[in-house]
Amino acid sequence: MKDTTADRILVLGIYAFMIVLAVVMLYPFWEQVVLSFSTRAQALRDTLHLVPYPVSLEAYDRVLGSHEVWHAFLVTVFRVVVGTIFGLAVTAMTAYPLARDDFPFRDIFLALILFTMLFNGGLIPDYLLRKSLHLLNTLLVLILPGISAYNVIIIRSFYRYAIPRELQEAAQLDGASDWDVWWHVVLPLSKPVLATVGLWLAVSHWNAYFDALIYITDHDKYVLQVILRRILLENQIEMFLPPGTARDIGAVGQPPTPETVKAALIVVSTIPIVLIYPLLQRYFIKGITLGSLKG
Amino acid sequence: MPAQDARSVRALTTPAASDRSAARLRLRQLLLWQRVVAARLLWLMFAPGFLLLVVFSYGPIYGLLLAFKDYNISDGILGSPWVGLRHFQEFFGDPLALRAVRNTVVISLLRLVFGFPAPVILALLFNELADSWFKRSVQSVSYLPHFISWIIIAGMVSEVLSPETGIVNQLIKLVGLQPVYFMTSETWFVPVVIVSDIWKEVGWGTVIYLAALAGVDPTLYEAAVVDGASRLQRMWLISLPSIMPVVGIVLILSMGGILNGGFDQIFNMYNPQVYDVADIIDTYVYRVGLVGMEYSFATAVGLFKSLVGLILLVVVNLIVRRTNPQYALW
Repeated sequence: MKDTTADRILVLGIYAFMIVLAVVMLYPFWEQVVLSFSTRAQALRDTLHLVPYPVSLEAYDRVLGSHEVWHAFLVTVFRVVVGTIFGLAVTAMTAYPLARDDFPFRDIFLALILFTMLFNGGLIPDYLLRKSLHLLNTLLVLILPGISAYNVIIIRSFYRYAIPRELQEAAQLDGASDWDVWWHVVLPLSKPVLATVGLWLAVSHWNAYFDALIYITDHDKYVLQVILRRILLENQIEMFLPPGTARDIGAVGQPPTPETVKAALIVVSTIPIVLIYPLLQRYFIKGITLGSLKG
Repeated sequence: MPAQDARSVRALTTPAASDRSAARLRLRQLLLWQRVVAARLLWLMFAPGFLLLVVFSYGPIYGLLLAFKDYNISDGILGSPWVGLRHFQEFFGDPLALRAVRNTVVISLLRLVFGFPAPVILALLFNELADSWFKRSVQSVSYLPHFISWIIIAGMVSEVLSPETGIVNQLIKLVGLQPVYFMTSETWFVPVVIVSDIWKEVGWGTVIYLAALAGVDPTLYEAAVVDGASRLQRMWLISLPSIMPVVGIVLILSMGGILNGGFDQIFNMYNPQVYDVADIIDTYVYRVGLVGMEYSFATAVGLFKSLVGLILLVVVNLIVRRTNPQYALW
């Protein structure tokens, strides 16, 4: 296909636009990186922050030396690992009977599950439910509700359309129980969808903050995002004061968190996502196409 | 004759036939029981996940009763007195609640008008570029904000828009104007919300449209080139119509969420100075209901919101089904 001159100008324009797009996408992140390596004085100066000068590690000293940040980081890792494994295992297990034609009342169950995607009780009923189940202020409250109907449907669709029925029937003829069929035949073939949903769950757990915010009050059960929120948005600097300092609460009189420290915290919290980002892309994009199968 | 349901008896005329159908019914019941027993392992596999789903999705629906009661911690949900539709009346008479509804609708509509077409257009633009490391890098970079939490993005946006050190205000000051306090300004806050939402989601939003575009028959383009169509014409007349079904589905799904307004984003970006334009239904429910502990009132507001969302979804889907059936959801 030969391009006319008008076409070539268009394509050039698109390329130029793409460069602008890339810059606009990256700049906010870059600015945080620059700030995180700057001194407090430099960060406050009224100039563009394109390169850190002089380079200083003082912000990272405070962030990486903070007990609260490390603790929240560990809590978050715990939540992500346990939440993802538990969620994935239960979801994959629950989806299997729904994929079988010989599961009694299957269609009723499907309808019940689909309905949960259309309607929910809202914030207050959610809160009161967890309260009555004595889940408040435990780490379980972050993990147990993690079963989503959407993921069940996605995995179920994969089971139905990507795993040949003959294989399952052959295994059953050989004497395999339903559990054996799932565990030894279906699951190994489901690695793509399991990777996709697993990564989905992991990212969702890593970024989750609201459930931790409203259901948990113990300081030592805070997740990283909650700490982030406190520091970035509510300017609570007590955690960076030396131990033994009187905790004088009240925004007035408390120095606001230095921009450099906020920036270092942002960089530190974003790095895990950036590290697994190539993986994320590959499986998430596959996930979108899998999701459109169910439609 | 053994006792069977009246239907099967009435439908028959001969004793022999009624005997046969009675037997058939018993057989069907026996077979069902056998199937249930045979599937007992499947039940075991299904039970935990299903129970969790039921508890955490249907459980709160039971709590919706609170919308019609006056919640009392000591009396619990069952014991609290009924007040019927009083909370809903309060809701419609409360200027702050109505303000929240207004803001939610305004923000959602703005998101729809500006935010919805953005990934479509970007996908069409991506589609015009030949595959290259450059194209793939730009795409990768554009997906990144989607995976970052709003807390972090709110922090980054604050910095970018900061009156003293932010780049936007640097440029504004360069032109000689006064710095703008974006985050606390009633005029600027909503545009900031819309633009930052586009920034976060436009890249990732292209994925589903690009997948659809990849499935377009290349001979269509070739025929168009033979007919002398320019790239722009090919985009407008071939690419765009080809992804309309997907666009339609995404649009319908967003309709159901019109009363959502984007809680995560607004919650992490708003502040009391901009409540007048930024307070949406969900943030209102959070403050009044959870922080202010007006449980039943907030439940009523939430119920109203969920119902309207559901109705909207159904209605929009019905309309689409009448006009262009292939775009409908069901």
